[in-house]
Amino acid sequence: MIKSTLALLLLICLSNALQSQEECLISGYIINEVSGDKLEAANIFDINSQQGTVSDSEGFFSLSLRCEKHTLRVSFIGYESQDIILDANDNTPITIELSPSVPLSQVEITAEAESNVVEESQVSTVEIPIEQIKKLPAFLGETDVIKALQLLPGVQSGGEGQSGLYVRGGSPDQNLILLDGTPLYNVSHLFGFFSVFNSDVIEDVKLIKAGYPARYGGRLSSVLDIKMKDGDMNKFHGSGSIGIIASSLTLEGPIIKDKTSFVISGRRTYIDLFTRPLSRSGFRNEGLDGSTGYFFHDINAKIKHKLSHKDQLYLTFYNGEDQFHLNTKEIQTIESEFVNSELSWGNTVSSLQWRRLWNNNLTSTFSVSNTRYNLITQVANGTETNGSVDQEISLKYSSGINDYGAKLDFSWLPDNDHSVRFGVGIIQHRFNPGVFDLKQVSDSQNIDVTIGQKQETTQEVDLYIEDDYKINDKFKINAGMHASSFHVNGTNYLSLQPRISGRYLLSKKSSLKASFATMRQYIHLLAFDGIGLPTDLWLPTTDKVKPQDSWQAVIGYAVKLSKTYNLTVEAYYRGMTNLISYREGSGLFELNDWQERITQGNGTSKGFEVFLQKKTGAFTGWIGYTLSYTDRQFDDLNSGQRFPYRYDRRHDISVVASYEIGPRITVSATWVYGTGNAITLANNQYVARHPRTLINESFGAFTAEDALSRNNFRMRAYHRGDISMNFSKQKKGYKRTWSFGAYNVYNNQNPFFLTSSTENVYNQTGQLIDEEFVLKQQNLFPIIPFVNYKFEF
Amino acid sequence: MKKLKYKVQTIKKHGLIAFILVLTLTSCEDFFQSTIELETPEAITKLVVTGFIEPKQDTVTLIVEPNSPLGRFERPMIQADVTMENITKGSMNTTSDQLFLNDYVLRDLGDSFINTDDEYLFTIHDQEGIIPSVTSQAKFPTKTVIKNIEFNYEGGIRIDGDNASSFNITFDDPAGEKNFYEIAILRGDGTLNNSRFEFTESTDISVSMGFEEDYVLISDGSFDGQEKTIELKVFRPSVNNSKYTLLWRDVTEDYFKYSTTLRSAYLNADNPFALPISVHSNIENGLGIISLYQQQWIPIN
Repeated sequence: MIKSTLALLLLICLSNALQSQEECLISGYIINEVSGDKLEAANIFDINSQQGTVSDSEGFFSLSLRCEKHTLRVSFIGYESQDIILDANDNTPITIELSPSVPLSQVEITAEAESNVVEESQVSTVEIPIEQIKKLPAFLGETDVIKALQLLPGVQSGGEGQSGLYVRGGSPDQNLILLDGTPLYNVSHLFGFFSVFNSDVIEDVKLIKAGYPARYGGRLSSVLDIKMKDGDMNKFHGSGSIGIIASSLTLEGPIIKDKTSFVISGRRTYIDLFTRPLSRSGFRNEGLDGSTGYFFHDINAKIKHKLSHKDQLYLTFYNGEDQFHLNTKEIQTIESEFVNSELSWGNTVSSLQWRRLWNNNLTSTFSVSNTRYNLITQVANGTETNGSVDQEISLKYSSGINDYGAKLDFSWLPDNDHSVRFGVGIIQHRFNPGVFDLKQVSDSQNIDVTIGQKQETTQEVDLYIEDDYKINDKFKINAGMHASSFHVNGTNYLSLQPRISGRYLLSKKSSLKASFATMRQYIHLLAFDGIGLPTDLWLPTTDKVKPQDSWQAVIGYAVKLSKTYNLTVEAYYRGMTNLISYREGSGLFELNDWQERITQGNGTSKGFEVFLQKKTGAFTGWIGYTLSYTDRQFDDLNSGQRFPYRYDRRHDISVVASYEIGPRITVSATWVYGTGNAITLANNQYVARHPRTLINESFGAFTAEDALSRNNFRMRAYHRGDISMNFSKQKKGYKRTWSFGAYNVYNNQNPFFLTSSTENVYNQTGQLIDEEFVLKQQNLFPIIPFVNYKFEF
Repeated sequence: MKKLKYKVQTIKKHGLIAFILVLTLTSCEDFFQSTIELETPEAITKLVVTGFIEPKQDTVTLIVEPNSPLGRFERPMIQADVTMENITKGSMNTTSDQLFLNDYVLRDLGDSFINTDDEYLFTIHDQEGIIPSVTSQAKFPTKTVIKNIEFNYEGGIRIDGDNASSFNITFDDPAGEKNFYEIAILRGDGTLNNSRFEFTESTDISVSMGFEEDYVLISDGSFDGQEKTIELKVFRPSVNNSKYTLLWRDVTEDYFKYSTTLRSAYLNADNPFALPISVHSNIENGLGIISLYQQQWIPIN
């Protein structure tokens, strides 16, 4: 089957390359005349032959026409259309600059209408314009891309306020999250309440839930492709925001006009600036000199340089880190004891891309990248006299992953009906599955010991080819093959992953769609099924731990109900094998081999999604509904019986609406409803004795709890409404926007976690008459108002 | 235009009122309730069995008791029939001898009933028939050959920074089967009455802590079929005159899982964020553990 698919692909490419010999190719870029930004999905239409195409994500287009003069009409909603006369015999790529006709925010929203869900061959793909995301109500006023994506059908948050992504029954590690093409490992700040993406520097957000094009690989559940915006080539400007917990500033402009541009953005929370003095005075009351605090920051930067009209260089950098510290010292004149503790985690991503236009129909992108995620927690305890340390013992735990990658991608447009992509990539992963450093400094001895898990270095190689092929006016497919290999400690894994998705036009306004894709994942995230802790471990496939595999089949129907309303209905089924989980009772901070602490199993997910969307006009938004069933089965868990996945959510509804009252005021509201998460709760308790008690070695016994099965209990259903209002005004030299709103506006008590306790029962006279077991739901966020001030200049 | 201006002003006014209202509400402490009481899951009664058996034992004691609803700490007595069957040889022994509360004793088994090569089936019935009957099947683990024990009085430091003595124990791990070991170091004359179990730790990745920290558990997953040396560290006494004994126990996979999950459940009992831990059991339809083991007491110095 694999051989025949490859043969078919090659045959298709070859036959069409031969056919195209009588024609000439016209190619080039469509860009914004003012900012120099590439314009994706612009229409390029030949008036004589009535043939046309649309520009790709880089603003690039290619059109095969007869070798003569043509008049091309280039249009993009919100921009002035242009008619250009050119000779197809001249094979030099052209750059067409379109000038905006209306304010930019409206342009970016309406432009999305051009991507036609009915005609696209891809299924389960959603793009949300960043300007629309910025208008949605945001938790504490911090615009969050991930939280906007959680409002889509088939995507869940995991828990109250969390920025995890659970796509169609998958776990967060199964999402390939790309920032300008480079994977990011941890996308959470503040224990999952905020994501690492600073919306000020994001240009485009695309989520693919199924039917993955062959160019993507390495994860099972979804692809989240986030592109940072390029700096303005022509003029310097900036923007910023001041919020309740964080502020940000973004600057962009030309370094060399029309040749080199930059964009740089920073964001930082300031909770620590307030807590530090408060904690100082609190500690002082206890006779200690100390402080505690927490902050996170993000820095994004990008430089774009045009080497020639055919070559462009992009340098991208991201660094984000969370830091928590607690330091105390006894206030004494001679000898004082001190305790310093710190928890920090963060990502650093850097990449260099060289994009080249080889000729009218072939472009390539070569990139080298590095992505790192590290977690460090350390505690130091000791004594000091007059500021000099007498003795100190410190324990530091670190874990993480460090990738170096290189990638070469080609995009080839042999004719108007084919868009072929192929490429190769290699990644070297270095895993640190958890190491302890123990240090002791004293008068008598100095000790420095490192113990823990062995670091692993692995190599992953990927090859792919795909063709987006318009077979005839009704049929269009995207077919391809992704091949990968993984080398670890002398063991090699190979995988061929066929991918196909397609659409059949039933009419101009409706189409049937289907897809089938297989995926393989060589890296694993060992996580606790609780809140999104940074302590989750990234681990490699080894000779004992097998790679995760999945397949997914989707059928769907897309219809344009009117000029502005689109409806998509999809049904899917996913099978997953070799998923990993902690063995019963295993934990993070253990010294034994991590491979001994885990177990592998299978999972399935099936569901049905409805997505009604309005993208244009003063009123925009969507309604999404998901019906889904997701389970897991591990031989070593739950007595080998299948059990519901923690995020098995039977019903999930989201309603998103934004209304532009005028050019200066926007009102937005969201409402979400979801079946409660499945959790494990005990049905009984019993005295669990250690067998050694029977031979008088121990008195070990413990009142353990027993649940009939894993995830046997459902939390209460979750629902929440958020609102926001944005007031914008053009001032002298800058534009300001005030945002007001509230999270959980009707103050629903949503479950965060459950606690249990045994409480005494008293009669009316205050006599103790009984004890009873009480189960309580703990809520986290009541109604939370927010205010945010943004400015642009 | 005039209409739009009016609209904008009205919205601003109402928006401001709504915002002030929200702020006022959030400042009232009683407006929020951070907890809600829920109905507890249904209680299901099961038998809990504990047993620890060595070869050639003439008397076997099993503790049999029911579980209880959440929050109930009384330990009800039950009347049970306990059967232990040697399914390799087909011989059977039944008891109705209830020694103390829920302790059941199988007596006068003789030398040939409990053998290292045989497999056993335990069956326990509640005489009143209220609680479902349980069964458990178990066999002995392979006995390990200890090749060498090296004692080093000044063996470095423990993870808590205390001075340590170290013990390097070398043994051959039987190939082609999963093996599990429980090891303890005793200081004293080597008898249970006159020795104390030392708090033991190891940085070897094949070592897990036991339920109590006076012994460790080992899984041979990373060294199956190989000669292995395990380094154990115990607190170093100020004078080097102590006598040590190694207690080496070959245990079953069920015992290993029971001990490690029991420890985790104990450590996570009060952590609301921890995933509830189900203590492993090899009792079909019930809870607890019946484990068969072989042990060696080896004087070290």
